[in-house]
Amino acid sequence: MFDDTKFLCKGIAAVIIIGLVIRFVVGGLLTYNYDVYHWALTISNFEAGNDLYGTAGYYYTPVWGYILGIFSRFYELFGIDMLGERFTDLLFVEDLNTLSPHTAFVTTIPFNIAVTALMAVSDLVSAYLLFWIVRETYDVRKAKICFAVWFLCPFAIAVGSIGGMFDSISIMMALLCICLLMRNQELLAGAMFTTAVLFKLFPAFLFFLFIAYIIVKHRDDWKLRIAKAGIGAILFGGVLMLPMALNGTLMDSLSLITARTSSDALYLSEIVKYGTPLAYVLEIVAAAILAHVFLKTKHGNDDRSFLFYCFLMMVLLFLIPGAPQYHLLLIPFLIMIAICADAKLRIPMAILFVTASVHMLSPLVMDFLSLTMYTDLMSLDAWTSFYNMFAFHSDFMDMPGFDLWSTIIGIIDLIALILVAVTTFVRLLSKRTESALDGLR
Amino acid sequence: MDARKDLPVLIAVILLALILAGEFVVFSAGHGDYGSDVVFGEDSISYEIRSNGPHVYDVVVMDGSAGSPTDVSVYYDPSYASNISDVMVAVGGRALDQEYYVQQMGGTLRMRGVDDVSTIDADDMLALMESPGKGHALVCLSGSLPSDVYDGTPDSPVFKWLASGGRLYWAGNAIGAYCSEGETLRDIGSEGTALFLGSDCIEGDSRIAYGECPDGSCSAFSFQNNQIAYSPSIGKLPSDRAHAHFGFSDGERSSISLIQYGEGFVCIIGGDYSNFQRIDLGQVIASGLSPTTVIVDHIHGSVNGRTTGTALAGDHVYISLGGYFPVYGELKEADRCSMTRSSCARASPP
Repeated sequence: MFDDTKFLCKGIAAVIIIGLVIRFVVGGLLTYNYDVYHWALTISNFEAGNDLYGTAGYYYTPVWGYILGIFSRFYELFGIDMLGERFTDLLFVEDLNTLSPHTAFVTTIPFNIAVTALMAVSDLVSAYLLFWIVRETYDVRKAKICFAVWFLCPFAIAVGSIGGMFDSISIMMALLCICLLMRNQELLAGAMFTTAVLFKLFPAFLFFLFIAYIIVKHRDDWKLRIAKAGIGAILFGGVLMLPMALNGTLMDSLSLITARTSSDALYLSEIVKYGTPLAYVLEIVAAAILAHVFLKTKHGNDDRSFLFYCFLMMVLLFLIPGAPQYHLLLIPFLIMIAICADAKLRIPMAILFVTASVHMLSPLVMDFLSLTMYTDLMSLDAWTSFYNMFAFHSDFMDMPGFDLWSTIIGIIDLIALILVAVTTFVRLLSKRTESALDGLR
Repeated sequence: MDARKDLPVLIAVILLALILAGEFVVFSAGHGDYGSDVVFGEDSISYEIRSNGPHVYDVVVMDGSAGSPTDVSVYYDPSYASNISDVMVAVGGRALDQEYYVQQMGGTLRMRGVDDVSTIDADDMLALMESPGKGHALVCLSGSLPSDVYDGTPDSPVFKWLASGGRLYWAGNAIGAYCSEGETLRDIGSEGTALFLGSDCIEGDSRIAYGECPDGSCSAFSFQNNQIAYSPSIGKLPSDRAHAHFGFSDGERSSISLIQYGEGFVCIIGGDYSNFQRIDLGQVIASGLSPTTVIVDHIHGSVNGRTTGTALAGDHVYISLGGYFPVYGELKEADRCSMTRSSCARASPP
């Protein structure tokens, strides 16, 4: 199926078609409205002349807002005039304070499909970049398998098409950084790295490994190359942040980081509020140690070892419990290693795909709101009955049914992640990882 | 350049270029992308709406509107005590405190065509009270007024200002129940509320409305806030004062209440701080809703470029774009248009 040496073969074409059809069908019918509502609100805020932070609604660093800026010009070409409505019949859902917030705002199906299209393009580009990296480090056949596994991964589909979350774009940027470093394009890699970090913080944990990779790959002129990367990062970062620095909203643009450690974010429990920053400090230390080990170890194949170290970093990073979509950044690295380096990881990977997808879909009943309010496929009465199945109050830790369900699923998902981590480290310690990783022996 | 090997480089360049283009879009979009004109006739009005991009629009024709305020003063003085409750915000969101709320009022109103918005402190407010209130709007989000302006007695300057036509927009707590003596809060109680509204008609309980007022204002103005705490009980308001109620209602109170005071009025937006409340507050101020406002007609449609239409006649027309995701609003006034007919009649009647 994937034996052709060219990228575009019948197998890849079939994967692309199947992947796109699934995304548009699923994304058209099911959407978790809370986040997508905020994308619509952000667009209306800047279209009203209040940029990203002038009025409330956008809680991220600016890069996603800029992508929404260009995205708004694309979907407007298709005449999408209404992004969503607030339904009086649904006001009751806002009474329940749950881990995944509920809103009476329901985004329209055309807007949901537009968001799905954006995420599908991003997934497709990420799939190609995964193909490119594996082709350069292993072979074309494995590269095509990686492409297919990623593009048909149910978790990736759930995050982008149903959740409407932009983690897949973050992955595209992280993979682009790796490709650019492999192509010795440090200036551009620096610009892309800044963009990726300002987009979603997680790629920042690859910083030390990226530096170590440049040093290992260019023993003679690594200082110059790192300087080029630094210049690219600073210049492009400056361009991205300049408007906020000029209009006095720079601190607002960083509120995602600061609010998570302040008492203002009242949704957070004390453990999460103080435990998460501490855990991330430990992750930074782990990232520095991994990079140091990578730097000091002699590798048979620098690129393969580098990818494996990136995978190790992601495994460590996502052992910290968080929103399910965060784990998506682990998936491309897991696919690479499971397909190319260690087949024993394939079963844990498959289990993780299932648990992470179910975790992502845990506000299940809320995903049906667009379908209910804008089509005749589900009546409001039927939806309300469905909702009430989860709206009961549980005595267990004083949780609403919604949170009980998502907590159980979250724990199962974490166990799957631990299974991946344990398999990885047991294999590593017993030196059974594929010989391409000889640098680790 | 090896196309096979360098495709990621090309993708990276395209992606960075798109992000920069998006940055330009975000910081260049604004009020200038939209416009509207209205021609007032004897039996009908005709309108033209222009939008750079597809948007839903609402044309609301009203009688008895107060018109646009000449200026809006938003009170914020951290050296005086406030009395408001903390509210939950989304993870990553900046806390919605009084300072942030006040900061957002300028943008909230300017996108709706109200340009003269300023933040004032307690001294400025006292100065404001010394001139006639007609046409001026004061927004108070502190849950308490400084004692120089209001000290719990009927002789307080704020009442003279209201009687002379001032508009007081209030959100965040029970009106009149507190005043601030510097950093000290003084509890005046329900007698203070009665001074503003004519009766003791506010209960302190936190309530939420699940229904809409029957006048169609929710859909006409895309009102969003369904909290009704600190809103007056309609049945307890004195009959000798005009009052109007819009937005969401539980049958006894509504999320937006406007009560006449002399030639001016008091407007109460129910509940604790929320973005929904701020958006509704912006709509109410910009559309000039008053205790005597009646919605005559409401047209809902879609525009991409330019559209025209007609509606029943009224003395004010509020045109907005974006629906529940508002991007533009503007109030058109029959009186003002008749005075400057040439500027208002640029649109050809359809």
